Amino acid sequence: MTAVSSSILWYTTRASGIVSLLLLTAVMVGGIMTATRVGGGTVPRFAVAEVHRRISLIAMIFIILHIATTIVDSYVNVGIVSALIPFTSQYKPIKVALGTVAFDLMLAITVTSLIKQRISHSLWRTIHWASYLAFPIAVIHEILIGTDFRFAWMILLTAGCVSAVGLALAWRFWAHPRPGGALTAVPSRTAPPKRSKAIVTRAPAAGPSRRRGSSKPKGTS
Amino acid sequence: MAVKLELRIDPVACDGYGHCAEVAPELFSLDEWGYPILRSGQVPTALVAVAKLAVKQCPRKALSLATAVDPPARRR
Repeated sequence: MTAVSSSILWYTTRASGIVSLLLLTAVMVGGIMTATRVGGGTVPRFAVAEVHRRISLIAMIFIILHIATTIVDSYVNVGIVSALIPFTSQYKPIKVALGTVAFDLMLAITVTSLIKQRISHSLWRTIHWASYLAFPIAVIHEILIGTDFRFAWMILLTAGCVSAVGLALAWRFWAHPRPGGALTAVPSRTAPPKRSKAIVTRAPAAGPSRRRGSSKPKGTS
Repeated sequence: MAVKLELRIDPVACDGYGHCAEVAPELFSLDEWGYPILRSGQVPTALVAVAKLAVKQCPRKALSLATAVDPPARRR
């Protein structure tokens, strides 16, 4: 491998790692938005879910590029086995292993989502919870091994990504009432609800959702 | 005539996300709590593709398409 092509690979590894961080942040925030039922007005909820799915696939492409260029680059001794099995790398085994573990989790989440129609919902959901493990592990991998992490812009970028996910997560678990504001077909005043012409609007955010929780008990998890 | 299909809602799995009514307003309306109500028992041939999309988009896998049983229109 010549010096030039090796440096191209190295720059690609670094760049694709940074792009992956940004995309994973978008995936996390998008996933939290899907679960908390953001949308329903100008942007429909199924569109939020669809954007979340598609960005996650794009993120996987960048992560695979990040891994592939690392393996192909002869400057660092990371073999193809290390892409899937942690602690097998000659180069910084523990720090590379963090990336491997995060990738394994993301692979499991992606595969179970692709075959979601054929597996049980609870299995899909359980594995999907691993996102909250995969993202921080990936960020720790970046902080410990990232060549660019010594620069202020990269530290700021990382801080921004972590805060974005942290805020979304805090909002999901503490601030946002469950279930989120329902899409409701407003019944006309004269006809009974089932025969009414459905006008899809958003229910008021806070008040009715609490009432709904008590008036119509449903399994929520 | 093609096989007649009808949509089925699993009321236990459904959690009122409302994606179905967004994807296929021709097939679903929502009650005041945001849970879907089928507009008709059978899926019109022209809407089969939309119905399949709605089934796929359901975040809770609460929708399914099945061969319609006779008499075709089962209404509550």
